[in-house]
Amino acid sequence: MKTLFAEMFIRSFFLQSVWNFERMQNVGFLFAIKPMLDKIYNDENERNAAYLRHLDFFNTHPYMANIIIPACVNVEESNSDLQKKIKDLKFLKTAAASSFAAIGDSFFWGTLRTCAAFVSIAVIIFTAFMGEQNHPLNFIVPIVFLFVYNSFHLSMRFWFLIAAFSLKDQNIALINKLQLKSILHLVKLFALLFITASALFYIVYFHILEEASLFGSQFLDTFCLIALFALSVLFGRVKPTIKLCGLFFITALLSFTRF
Amino acid sequence: MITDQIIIAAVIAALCSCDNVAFGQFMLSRPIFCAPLFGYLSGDIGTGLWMGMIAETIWINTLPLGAAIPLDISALGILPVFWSAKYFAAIPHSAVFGLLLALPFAYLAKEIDILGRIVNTKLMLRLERELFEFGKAEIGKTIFMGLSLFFVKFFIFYVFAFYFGGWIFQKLYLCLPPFIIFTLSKLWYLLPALGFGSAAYIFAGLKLPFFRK
Repeated sequence: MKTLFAEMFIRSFFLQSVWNFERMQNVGFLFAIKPMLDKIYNDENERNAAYLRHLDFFNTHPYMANIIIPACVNVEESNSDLQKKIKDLKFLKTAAASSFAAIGDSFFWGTLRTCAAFVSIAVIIFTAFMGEQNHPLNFIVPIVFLFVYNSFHLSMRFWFLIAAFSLKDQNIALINKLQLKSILHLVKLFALLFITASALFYIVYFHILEEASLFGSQFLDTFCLIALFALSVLFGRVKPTIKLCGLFFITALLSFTRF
Repeated sequence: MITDQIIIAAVIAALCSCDNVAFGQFMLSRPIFCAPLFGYLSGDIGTGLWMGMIAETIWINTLPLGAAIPLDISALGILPVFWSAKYFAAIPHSAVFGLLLALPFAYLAKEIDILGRIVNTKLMLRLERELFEFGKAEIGKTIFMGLSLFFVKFFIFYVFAFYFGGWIFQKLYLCLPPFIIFTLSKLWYLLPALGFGSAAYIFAGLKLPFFRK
C-alpha cells in the first residue's frame, strides 16, 4: 500500500503534462489514479471502463488534486451500483474540484508563494542596503525561496493524499478541519511585514545612492519614489506590462527634458 | 562555443518553463528563482537577483489559472539576464532594456504554449480512441509525449530567443540615444518601487489586527 501511495504521489506531479482545452487535466488525473484502478479492477473490461470514466473533464488546482484522487478511489472501491458511482464521481470532479481549485489558488499561489518570494526579496534588499549586492553567498536567495515554498507545499500535498484516503467519505470535511482561513490570514500578515520592511529599506537605500538620482535633489527623488510606490498600489488592477511601459515613457520624457 | 552555451542555456530554460505547467509546479519557473540561476550561470548573479526581484514583484499575480494562459513569466526572468550578461556584462542596467525587449517574446511564448495545448487535445483524443476501440492504451506514453512536447516547444523558443533576440538586443542597445540610456539607468532603481507597489496591492483587502473593532 505504501508503494502505491508513493507511486500516486509521484504521478500526481504529471497532472498537467497533457493539459488540453477540451478536458483540461483529464489525462494527468487518469495517470495518477491508474495504479489504484489496476488494483481495484482485475477484469480487463471493467478496468477499461474505469479508465474511460476518468477521461472525463477534470480541472482543479494541481496540489488540491491530491484530495480528489483518493476521494475518487474511495468511490471506485465502494460496492454501490455503477450509476451511483458515476454520479458521485461527477460531483467530485466538477463541483468539489472547483471549490478546491479556488482554495488552492488563494492559499498556495496567492499567499504561500508570495510570502516565500517576499522573504527572498527582503534578503536581496537587505544585502543591497548593506552594500553587498554582489556577495558570493547571494546564490542562497533563490534556494531560500524554493525551500520555504516547497518544504511546506510538498508536505501538504503528501498529507492531503494520505488523509483524504483514510477519511473515506469524510474527506471533504478535511478542508474545514484545516482552519485554512486563519492560516491564510496569518501568512498574509507575515508576507505584508516582509514587503513593508523591504519597501522601507529600499527607500532608505535609494535615498543614499547618488547614481539613482533623477532630479539631482534627494528630497525630490525620494518623494518621486514614494509617489511611484503609491501610484503602483492605486493602479494595482492595471496590467503590469502597461504599468512598466508607462513608467518607461514618463522616465524617458523626464530624462529628455534634462538632456 | 556560443552555440554550445545557447543550447545548454535553452535546455535549462526549457526545464524551468516546464515546471510552470507540465511538471510539478515547484516554482522553478518563477523569476525569483530562474533569473538568479541564469545570472549565476552567466557569472553575474547580482544582476540576476535584481532583475528576478523586479520581474517577480511586477508580475506577482501572473499565474496560469484554469484555462487562462498569461504571458510567459519565466522568459521575463531569463531573457534579460542572459542577454545583458552575454553582450553588456559591465552594464547591468542594460538588463532593463532586456526586460522591455523580452515582453514581446513572453507574449510569443504564450502563443506557442496555446498551440502546444491544442496539440495536447489531439493526444488526449487519440488515447481515448485507443481505449475505446482496442481496449488498451499507453497512458504513460501519452504523458511522456505531452511532457516532451512542452519541453521541445520551449527549447525551440529559447534557442530562437537567445539567438535572434540577443542579436536584436545588441544592435538596438548600441543605437539607443543617450537620454534613453540615462532612462534605463534610472529605471534600474525605480522599477523595484513599481514592483513593491504591485506586490502591496494584493494585500488591499487585508484586515490588520490593530484596526479590528
